[in-house]
Amino acid sequence: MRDISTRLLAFVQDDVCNGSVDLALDTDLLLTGAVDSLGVIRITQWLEDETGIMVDPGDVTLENFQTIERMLTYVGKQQAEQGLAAD
Amino acid sequence: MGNARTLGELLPRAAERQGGAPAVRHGGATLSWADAAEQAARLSAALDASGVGPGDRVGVHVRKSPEAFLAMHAVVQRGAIAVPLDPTAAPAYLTGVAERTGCSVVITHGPCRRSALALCTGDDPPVHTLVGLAPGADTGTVRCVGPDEIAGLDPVAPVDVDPYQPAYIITTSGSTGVPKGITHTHASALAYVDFKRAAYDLRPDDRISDIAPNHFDISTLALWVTPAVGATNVVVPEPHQMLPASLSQLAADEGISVWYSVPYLLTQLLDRGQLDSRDLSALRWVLFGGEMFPPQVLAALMAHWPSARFSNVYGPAEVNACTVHHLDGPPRGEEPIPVGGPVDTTEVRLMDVDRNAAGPGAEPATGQPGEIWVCARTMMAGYWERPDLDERSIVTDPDGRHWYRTGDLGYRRPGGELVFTGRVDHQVKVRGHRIELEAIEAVLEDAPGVANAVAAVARPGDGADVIVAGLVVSAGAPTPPDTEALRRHAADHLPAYAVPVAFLPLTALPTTGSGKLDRRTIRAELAARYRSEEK
Repeated sequence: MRDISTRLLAFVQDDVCNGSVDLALDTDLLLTGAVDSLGVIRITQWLEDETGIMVDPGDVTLENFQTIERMLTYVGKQQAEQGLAAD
Repeated sequence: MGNARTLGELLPRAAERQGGAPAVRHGGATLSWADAAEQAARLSAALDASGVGPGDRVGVHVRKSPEAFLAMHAVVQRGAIAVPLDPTAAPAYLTGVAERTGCSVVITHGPCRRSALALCTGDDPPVHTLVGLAPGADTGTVRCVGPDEIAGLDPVAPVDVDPYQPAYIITTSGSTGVPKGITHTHASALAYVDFKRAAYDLRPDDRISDIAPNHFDISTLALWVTPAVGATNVVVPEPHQMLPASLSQLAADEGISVWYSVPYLLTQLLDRGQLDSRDLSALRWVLFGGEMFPPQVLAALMAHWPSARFSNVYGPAEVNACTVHHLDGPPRGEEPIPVGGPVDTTEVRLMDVDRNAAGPGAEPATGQPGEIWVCARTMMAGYWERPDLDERSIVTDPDGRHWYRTGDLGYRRPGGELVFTGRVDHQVKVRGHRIELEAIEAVLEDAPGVANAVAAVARPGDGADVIVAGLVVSAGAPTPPDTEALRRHAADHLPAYAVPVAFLPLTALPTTGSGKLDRRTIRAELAARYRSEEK
């Protein structure tokens, strides 16, 4: 199984953005308009499904969702806190 | 000092009256009225140096920021006509808007660099000058007036123009697939300022949410009313609008006192905005409009903010403001929230739909539906270079007064308050944006390989409406169709918010008794299918 960062990048680029943009791990997804509010909801759902973490709505903030890098940091922290194995 | 005669006077007057007071808050920084007036006047000088004069159209292609506010003021100060160009729309769509309105100069900034330059490429590009963009290796022969150059210009005073001349054009989808330009004048926009001041007790110490992009008519409150009142605009950048927990934090940190948005954003705040842990006690007035607010959701929100007043605001972009309903308590039951009654000098009448063709007549009985007609100083001058559309939508009565036919349906409650119930046509609202389903269908049917298209609104599990399209492919065309190519085709011809999120194949095309495509049935099926396929 490909690692989580590759899969998340592929999901956001191909599914959420319909392949219309080139994303890097540190692309500002929200300011560039690459991802809209529905996209944020889909990404949140994907993170829950694919990593097993529970995303608290209070955590869906600029700090945790501005870039794919930040999302990965958040997932890592949640996996540790929620006692889940990182994949 | 009297009231402003033109929109261009608003900033200089605010600066003269209260130069040191905060005009715009953004990213924790404050721009005073004096600073705002000076920056707009320098930008105005850059337009002047680019040959922009009264009556010229100038594109405004800027993300939600203080620059978006200043750009609109700089254009109207020249007596020119501002044409907001949605930063999220596809370049081909924006090129079409720039061509139809004749924008050769566009104000933009760094975050829109790529899409702004796209307006200047091709064989015969509509745009040749970009104001606000620094020249660089990628700008080629495009004339760029960068921020440094603008900062070195001497501010220029506003041009005195006839208030009945056009000031800005809001683009909205038209039913044929060609967008139409709602053209407002200085006078109609300033009448809107009067309307808002009459409807709400806005004060200089108010901190008003500046949420909507310039191409969306809700932005008119922050653009024109705030400077007239001398309140403060709190810019809510796009990222916050996607993240309700950050949005509520911003509202708390900034002490927003007047909120104005579509119900969708308020619903997001209620669902995911962590309202229990945010101090929004500064919020004293919540204005919402653009689409229906489910009564139960509104009641839940009102329970969170017991000290705030809530008002339902109604008015198509053609008249900016039409009626308002101040709630005297949380709604009970399921009856739609009334849109209320007119304010200031605005008049509203209901027209029996069957008698519309015969011109103004008697209102239907209380509780009976009719089309909402508006006679108001806030009314647009007309659609940009579309006298055919003006003729259809503006009726002159025997007294010589002009009535705008909204195409909206409503009825009156026994107290006279209006209740909006729907449309006479196939226009829908998605998060406050007006969308003509026929426009989407017309655009898709122009795409290669599509024989028939039906567009519908679907509401997936998260409650946020989306547009979906059903397609019948032409004989010999590939099945299933190339949805990515279709999505691009739609984005090139439609506003960003009207691009379907899904393309579903249609196998059967039921018809009505008269042999026409039964779009109502197909739309209901499409919405249901999208919902079930999402799961």
